[in-house]
Amino acid sequence: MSMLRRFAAGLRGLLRKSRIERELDEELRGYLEASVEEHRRAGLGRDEALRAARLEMGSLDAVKDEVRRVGWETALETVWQDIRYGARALRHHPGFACAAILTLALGIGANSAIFSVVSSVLLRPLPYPVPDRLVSLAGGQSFPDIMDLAEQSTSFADLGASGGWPLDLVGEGEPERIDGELVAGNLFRALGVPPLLGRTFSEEDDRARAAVAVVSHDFWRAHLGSDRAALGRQLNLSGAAYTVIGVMPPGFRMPFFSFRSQVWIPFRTGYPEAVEARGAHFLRAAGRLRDGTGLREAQAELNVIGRHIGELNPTDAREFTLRDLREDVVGAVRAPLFILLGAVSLVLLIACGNFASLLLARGVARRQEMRVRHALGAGRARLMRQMLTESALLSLIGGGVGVLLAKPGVALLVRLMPRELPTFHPVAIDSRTMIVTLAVSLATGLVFGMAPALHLWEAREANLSGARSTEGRSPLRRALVVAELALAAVLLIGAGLLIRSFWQLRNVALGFEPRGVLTLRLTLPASRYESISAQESFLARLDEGLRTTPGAAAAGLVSELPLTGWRMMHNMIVEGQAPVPEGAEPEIYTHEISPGYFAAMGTPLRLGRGIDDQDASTSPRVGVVNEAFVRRFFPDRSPLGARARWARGEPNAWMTIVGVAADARFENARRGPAAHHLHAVHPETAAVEALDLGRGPKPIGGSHASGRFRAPAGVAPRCAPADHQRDVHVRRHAGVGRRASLQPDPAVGVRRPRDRPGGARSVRRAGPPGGAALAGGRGPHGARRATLRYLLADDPPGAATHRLGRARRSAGRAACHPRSAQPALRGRRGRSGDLRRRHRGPRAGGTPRELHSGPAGPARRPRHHSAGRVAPARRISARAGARDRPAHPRAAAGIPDRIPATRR
Amino acid sequence: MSEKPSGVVQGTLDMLILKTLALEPMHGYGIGVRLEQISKGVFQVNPGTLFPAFRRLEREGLIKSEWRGTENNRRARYYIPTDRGLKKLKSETREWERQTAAITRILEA
Repeated sequence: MSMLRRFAAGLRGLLRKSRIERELDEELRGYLEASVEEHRRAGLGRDEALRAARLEMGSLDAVKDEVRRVGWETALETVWQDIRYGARALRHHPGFACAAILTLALGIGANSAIFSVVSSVLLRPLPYPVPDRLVSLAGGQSFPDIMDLAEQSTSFADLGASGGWPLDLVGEGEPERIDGELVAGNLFRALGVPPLLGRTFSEEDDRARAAVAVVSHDFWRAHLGSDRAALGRQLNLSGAAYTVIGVMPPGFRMPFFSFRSQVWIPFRTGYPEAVEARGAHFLRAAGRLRDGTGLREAQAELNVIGRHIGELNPTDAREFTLRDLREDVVGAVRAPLFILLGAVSLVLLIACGNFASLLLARGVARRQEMRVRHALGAGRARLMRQMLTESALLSLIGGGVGVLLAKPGVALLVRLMPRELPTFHPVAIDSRTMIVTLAVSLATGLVFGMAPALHLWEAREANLSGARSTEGRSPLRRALVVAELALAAVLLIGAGLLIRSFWQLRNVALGFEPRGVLTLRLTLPASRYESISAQESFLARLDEGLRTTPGAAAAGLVSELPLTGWRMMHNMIVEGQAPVPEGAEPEIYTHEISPGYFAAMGTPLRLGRGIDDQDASTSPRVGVVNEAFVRRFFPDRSPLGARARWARGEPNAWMTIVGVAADARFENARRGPAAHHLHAVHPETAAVEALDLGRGPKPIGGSHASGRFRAPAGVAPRCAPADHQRDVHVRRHAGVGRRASLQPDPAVGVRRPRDRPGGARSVRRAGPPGGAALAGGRGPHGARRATLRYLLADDPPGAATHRLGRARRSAGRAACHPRSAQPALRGRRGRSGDLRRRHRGPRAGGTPRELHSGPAGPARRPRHHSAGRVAPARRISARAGARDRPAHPRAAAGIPDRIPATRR
Repeated sequence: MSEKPSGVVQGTLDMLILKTLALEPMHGYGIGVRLEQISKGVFQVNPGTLFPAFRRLEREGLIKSEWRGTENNRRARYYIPTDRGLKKLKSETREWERQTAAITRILEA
């Protein structure tokens, strides 16, 4: 109450200032007169009385000052005065002011920009209702496991899972590849976000294998015209018709698989083959704990269920580990982000050091002024306050300019951010960032203005007593310089190490040469390529077309490209090795390739030969292994002539090892080859073989460190006859509004895989795309815009062809950079297309260029094999057959032949 | 009590002013003189102390002021205690008596 009263009185004091001052004057005058009269009455003369009264009263101004000091508003006025005075002083020294403001603006701006990312990613809760009840299961899960858990566990209110599942949207326009997800169980209910329109689906729809789809808001906008009547519309997704039953609200994201999916379909509907596949661990599961159930109790229950499942399925014993969902999603990026924040904080500290130095230098120049003010009666506190006001003024302006700088900085960051960074909330300079910036600015000004102010005071004392100034060599200054240098050294060393790591990554022996290689990924629609022979002939034509493309030095097809995230593992039996129990056979990464693959990728052969045109599907099966495979299985002898086969394949379908290729990094460019793998090559056009798993194990490969490649969007050139116009689906990130620009960096070409979402270490480097890859490039083109239409060799005249891209000159070497796969994709989005480009052929211009294309076909006979712990793949490779195309003949056993590796 | 005039005991000036005004409204000079007279010259309050006290009391709503003519036909600002001021005086007085009584007992013990 009295606070309020004082506040109101102060306000009145401010508003009626002149009147109050007048009255005070009058009152004091009255007092003086009264005093004079009193003295005169006591018998003093007029002058004497006046003198005595004045003596008694003391300085009139001092009295007034005392009176004025009673109200808070006076302090405010003083501050305002200081600010005006400070601003005036700064205006008179624009050089100093600009230097100080810019210094701070850079430091503060960098901090604000990074903080906005930290704020969005780490400080805000996941955008689901009651997010702290949400948990996830660590690692990949299989559908049967999830179903068992959902049925047997009592800890969850709802439990569900999803798996990345690219879908080909065939509509009026160009076929398009959409990031989709298979949804198992009650995932939508568990997340708890109600749909904007219609409904989501749950376990019941899944069980009924309903052909229904829920779409994202972005998808609804981009493909359904934001039409409320879109519910009930049919979407042709990968050859099957789905009815749209729900539209999610804007900003809704699934918590897994890079948070990008646009369309969700029930698991059983989309991938019936995997319903019984307990070894296909490619789903990520999330659940909502029942109220009152703690993480620990739930975990205990899961342990019991896990043991039970293990008893029933000895080859697939699993442990289920619960984690907080938020931790699962952002845990991996916390440390990298904080390190980044720490780094920019160091930059700010250095800027502050500079700022303090500037203030010191300016203080020296103001000595005279300070002396005069002191002589006129300004106290120490008053002068210090003045100086602090000035530095705070500078830092606040610096902060303001910093925010202006941070705006474009944030835009840049958003473009550079790895797609896996869990930015559920838009990264922007929000109120939280503004508040932090304001606080940082103010603190900077006050803290770093304090030292110079104190220092000046001491120096002034010295001056006043006649000593010469010694600021030039003051310990404070020296300390500042030392601190700045130390901080700068820390930063410099950190940055140096970072660059060095990056450089090493760039120069790491990948086992293939990404420069100058173009890649693409393709999938064939099941409807048209159901038969293996149709797939084979398409791929053979494609391979031929690629190889004869003018400017192509080499071309080949492969089932999975390195560093794209696609990978496939098989349990293999290697002849001559000690027998192992079923289910425990070594797991080998396998790939199917066409003869040109190694040449296209620049992977050297160490021993023997590669696959050649004579290795047709009809000839004895052959394969090429990598060095790691040899080290593991043939440490002391030549692998040539040895045989291997799928553990689950036909018992006599042996494949002979005819060559050894250099180890290539598949998973991750950072890590050395860890696994053995074997590039399984298979005879004939590898691609074709790739399609037909049933035909024989071509692959053998000892797989070993395979790079995880991120599947670039698969673009398929239209190849071949006009009737195949739609055969190759172009993938682009429809509606994912978010950063197409994250796509491969033209300067690097290959995008390196990251092992973890958002891992700070990921480096972009291109990888040929998974699936079918077309590694082209190394062309001698110097032309800037050579189109790669020739790829579509079979195009009949007049058939639409798409520009695969244009060649771009870079670093003096010509390279082909497909820019956009089709006209529609041109521009930014086009860049995100599947064509990965690499340029700058390392060898001089005309080096080989290769294309490989991977498996594409839908129809494929399943081969049994266990996928071991392969992480779930989001795409079942072409071999798995139906993965891309649900319509495809479900392989006999319904067991996925290979489990797609997932990229996590 | 010493021979020399002294300042008022810390914190008691407000109470003394209120007490003075409770007898009759007065202007600044009058209050000063009255305090000196009543205390028989022990307390001499200079304007640098007196006027800030007026303003403080006024801000707290314990006194109010109005301009009136003086006996010498001048205009002066007269201070008048408010109800809150009188109440406050009462409680302060009680508190003062309690404390001085205690102090006296201690000193005489």
